Amino acid sequence: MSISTQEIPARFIGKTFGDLFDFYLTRNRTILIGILENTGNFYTRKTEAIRDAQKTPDISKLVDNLKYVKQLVANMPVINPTSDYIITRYTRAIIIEGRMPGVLKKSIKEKTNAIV
Amino acid sequence: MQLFKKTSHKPHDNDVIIEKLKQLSFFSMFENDDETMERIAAVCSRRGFGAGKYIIREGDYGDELFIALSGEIEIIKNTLQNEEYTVTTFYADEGGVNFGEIALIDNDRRSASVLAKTECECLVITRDDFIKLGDENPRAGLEITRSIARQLCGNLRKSNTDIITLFSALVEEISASK
Repeated sequence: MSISTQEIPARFIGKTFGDLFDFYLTRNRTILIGILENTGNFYTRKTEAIRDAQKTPDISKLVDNLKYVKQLVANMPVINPTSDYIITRYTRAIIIEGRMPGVLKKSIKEKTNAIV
Repeated sequence: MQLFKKTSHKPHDNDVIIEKLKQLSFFSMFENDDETMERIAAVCSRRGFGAGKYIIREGDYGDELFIALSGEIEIIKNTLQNEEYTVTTFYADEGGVNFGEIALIDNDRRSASVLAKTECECLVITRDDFIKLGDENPRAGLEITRSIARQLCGNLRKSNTDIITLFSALVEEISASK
């Protein structure tokens, strides 16, 4: 078993954690356990967030938006969020990948060798 | 290139114009005063804008009040980085929609852009015509100016609240920083 991060398919941006969880369930031996937020170039992420934060005529909302930008943390893990958590851009999936049991693995290896 | 087409109105258009003027808080106090309404309607000109054309541009100087007669209108502002965002969208059919009223009082830069999302028609009153109307009809001029002043007071109160919000955020930020 190993924990790793994977790029999230673009079609899941704007969808919920529940949707992404179901997607990973359909894949062999992978379970989605969380999301890694603000990955990649953090300076670019923050600059973009500041630009977006200003796009409101409501000063209270502007202040809230800027506070949110200030609290951004690079590579922030969000483990097991609620199923309605919305997947945003620049996030990666944190998944547990299962490994084949040792006995089964050995047996496959033996079979493979036998074929060779 | 001509960005808009100016049209004068015919006598029978007056009913449409007066009905629209009655929907505006600036003029609604004269809804039972046909003579004053006729005088206000007389200083209005009709102007058409094609879809995608700017009626007002943020930062430009202007001396005209616009009243939307038809169409869909978007109010747009720019961020410090000069990126546009939509503040709100208005539909002329939904009642009295006006913009640029400060221009009737003061010659200053427009605080937002106004975009015709669809083909639009507006009534336009220039500052010169508004002043002339007030000179010839002091009572009407006073009532309309009071009404604009009331709206400006509301804007000022909101600005004061905004300053307090920003000031509080600044104090909070400084207090939190080491």
